[in-house]
Amino acid sequence: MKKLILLIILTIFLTGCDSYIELNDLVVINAIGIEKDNELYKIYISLVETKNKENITKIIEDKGSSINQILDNLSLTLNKKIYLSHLELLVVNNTIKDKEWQEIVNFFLNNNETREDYLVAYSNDLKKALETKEFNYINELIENNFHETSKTIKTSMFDVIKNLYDKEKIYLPYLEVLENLKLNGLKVYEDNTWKDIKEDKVIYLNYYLNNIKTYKYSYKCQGDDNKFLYLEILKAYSKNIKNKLLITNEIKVINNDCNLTNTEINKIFKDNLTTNLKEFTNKQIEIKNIIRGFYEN
Amino acid sequence: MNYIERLKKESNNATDYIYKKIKLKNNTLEIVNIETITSSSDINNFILKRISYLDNLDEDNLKDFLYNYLPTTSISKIKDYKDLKNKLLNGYTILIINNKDLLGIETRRDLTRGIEKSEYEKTIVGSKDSFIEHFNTNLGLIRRRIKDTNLQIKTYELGKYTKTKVGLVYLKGVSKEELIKKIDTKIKDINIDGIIDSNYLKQYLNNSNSLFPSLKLTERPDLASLSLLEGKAIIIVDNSPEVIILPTFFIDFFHSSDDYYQKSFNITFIRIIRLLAFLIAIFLPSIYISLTTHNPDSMPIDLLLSFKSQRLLVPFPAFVEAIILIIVFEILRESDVRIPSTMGTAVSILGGLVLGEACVSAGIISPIMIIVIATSAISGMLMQSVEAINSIRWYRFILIILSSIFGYFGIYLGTILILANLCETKALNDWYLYPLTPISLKEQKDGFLKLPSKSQKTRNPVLSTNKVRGR
Repeated sequence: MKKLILLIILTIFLTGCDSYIELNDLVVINAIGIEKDNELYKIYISLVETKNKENITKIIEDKGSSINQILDNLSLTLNKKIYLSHLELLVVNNTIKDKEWQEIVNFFLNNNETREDYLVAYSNDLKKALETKEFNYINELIENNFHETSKTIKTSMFDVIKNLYDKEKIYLPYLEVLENLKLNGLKVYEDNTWKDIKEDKVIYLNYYLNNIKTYKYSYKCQGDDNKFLYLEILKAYSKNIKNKLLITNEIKVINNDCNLTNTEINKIFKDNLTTNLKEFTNKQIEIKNIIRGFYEN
Repeated sequence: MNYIERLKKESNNATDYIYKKIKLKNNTLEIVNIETITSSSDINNFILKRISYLDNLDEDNLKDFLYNYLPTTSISKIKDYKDLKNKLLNGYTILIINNKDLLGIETRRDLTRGIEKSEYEKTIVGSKDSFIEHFNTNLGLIRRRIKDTNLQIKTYELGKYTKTKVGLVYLKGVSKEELIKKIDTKIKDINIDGIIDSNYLKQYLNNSNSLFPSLKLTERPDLASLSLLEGKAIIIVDNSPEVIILPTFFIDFFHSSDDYYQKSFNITFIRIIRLLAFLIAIFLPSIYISLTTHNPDSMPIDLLLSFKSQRLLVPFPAFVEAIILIIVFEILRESDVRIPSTMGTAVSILGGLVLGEACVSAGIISPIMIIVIATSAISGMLMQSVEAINSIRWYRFILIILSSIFGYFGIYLGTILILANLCETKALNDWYLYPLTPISLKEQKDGFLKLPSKSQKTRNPVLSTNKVRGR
C-alpha cells in the first residue's frame, strides 16, 4: 500500500516536469511579420538573442506552406523552443486575405502560449518595418498617436478575431516605410479587399467608434490666411443609439485670432464634424459642445 | 553506617566533598559541604565562626538551639538521608549533630554572571536588561516590574539526575485558571533524566505538528512581564537565561517588546514591514524559480530578457542554483554563530563578498539568484525568535521544491498546505492563528496593526477572564 501511495505521489510530481523549461532554452519572439508569396507564407521574425550578456534583436525570415511549419523549422535550426508568450506585434500586408486571416487566427488560437493582446499593424514592407525600428518603438508610436492625436487606431489580435467572427471591418494602423518608418492613416480590411483611410479622416472614424481621447483642431479665419482658431478637444464621447449618433465634446479654446463668439465657434466645429462624419455613418448626428472660456462680443 | 561514611561511599570519596568534625562539651558536630558549589566565606562567617563561640556549651537539644542561634533565615531541618543528599547537592552545608539530627544551611556560591544587555532580542527603546542563568534573579527581574501579591509561582523539581528548579509564574486573577491547570499538568507529567536548559522543556510543552513554533522563548524581562499582564504564563528554568512564554500565537512572532514603547502608527508600519519580510522570506525564491522554469509568460519581456542574459553562462538549473546558494548561506550563518566575534568580520567578508563575487565572475551562480536568496535570507532575519527563523527556512525549502516541479501551481499547493497546517495547530487550548482565524475584530487592534494602547480597554478574551484592563 505504501509503495502504491509513493508511486502515485511520484507520478503526480513528475507531471510538473512537462512544463519545465530553462530561460536559455527559449527563443523569445517579440514581433512577427506575415505575408503570402506565391502560395507560400513568408514570415519575418524579430527575436532576441543573448550574446555576452547582451540582448540583441535579430530579424530572421523563412518560407513555408504554413506558419506552423516555418516555426518548427526555425526551432530545429536554432535548437531552441520558439516562445511566443511575449509576442508584442504582428504586421501584415495586402497579401493577407480571408483564407490567410483564418489560418493566422487559427495558428494563434491553437497556440496556448500566445496571448491576444498584442498589436496588429499593416505595412507596405514588412521586413523593413521590423528592421528599421524595434517592436517597442512601433508599439509606442501607435499608442502615443492613438492617445495624443487620435490619428490612428489601436487594434489588438483580440479585436481582429472578434471583427473577423462578426464579419466587420478590420482597421489596422498603416506603418509606411519609405526612408523612415511613420504612421500614415489606416488600412481597412473588408470583403477580401484592403482600403485606405487618410490620416486626417481617422479622427472622424474614431468619433464613430467612440475612440477619441484628445486632439487639436485648427480653422483658418475667413479673409486672413495668417489667422487661426485653435481648439483643443479635451474629452469627447459618442454613442450610437438606433438611428442616431450622439456626440459630446469638451473644448478648450487655445487661440481665437478670428475673434469668434462661442456661438460661432460652436457652429463652425459642429458643421465640420457633421460633414466629415457622414463619410462613416448615415445616422442622424447630434452634437453637443461644451466650450471652456467666454467669447461673447 | 553513619551519614558521613555513607556519603563518602556514595560519592566515591569525591575530592570536593569537605568533612569537618567539631567536638563540643557533650556533643559531636560534623559539618559537610561541597566546596565547588558552596561559598567558603559564608560557611566561615555564618557557621564556623559562630560555632567556635560554643566550646563550653552544655545543651541537650543542640538541634533546636543551632536552628535559632545561627544568623541566617535559610536554615532548615533535614528529615532523612535522601533530603540530606538533595540539600547538599543544592549548595547547602549540612550539620550532623551526634550522627542523629540534621540541619541544612544555605551557603550556595554565586556561580552566575551579572545582568547584561539582551543579546538576541535587541530593541531601540525600552529596558536593556536580560535574564541570566539564576532562577531567583530571573524571578526578581519580574517581581521588580510586577509588584503585586497576585504574581504567583508554582515550583517544580524536574529531571531525575539534574533536579532542576522550574517555576510556573502567572498573574492570579488575570490568567485563566484552566490554562494554568493545563500547564501544571503538562509539567508534572514530564519524566526526564535532566533539564539543562529551558529549550529541553519546550519539546514537552509544545505538542503541535507545525513547523512554526507555538512557544516563544525570551530573554527579556519586560516582554515576560508584558505577557503576564496579558494573561499568559511564563516558565522559568534554573540555569537558563531564557524563559518560556505560553501560550504563544502566530501573530506574537510579529510583535516585539518595544512595539509598546513607541507611537502606534510607526509600529503599524513596522509590523506591516515584518509581515512583508516574512512573505518575501518564504515566497521570493520559489516565485523566482517558477518564473524562470515554468511561468516565464507572467513577467514583462524586459525582465525576462534581463533574467535570460544573467543566466546565460550558469551551468545549473535554477533549482540547483537556489539550493546551492541556500546551503552556502546556511554554512556561512552557522560559522558566523560558532566562531569568535573577532573572526566574524573576516568570515563575512570572505563568504559574503569575495565568494559571491567570485561565483558570479566564474559563471557558477547568476547575480539575480544571489539577490533573490540574499533578500529572502535577510527578510527571514526580521523575526526575533530563532525557532521562527528556522521554520521559515523549512517553508522556503518546501515551496522551492514544489515550485520547481509545478511552477505557480506548486506555490499555491504549498501555500494551502502551510495554511492548513497553521490552521490546525493549537497553542495549548486555543487556535494558533487567533485572532486572524477565528477572527476577532477587537484583537486586530494589536494584531498586524497597532492602535494606541488607550483604545485597548479590554484584555484578550482567550487568555483572560478578567477582561477589563486596570481592574
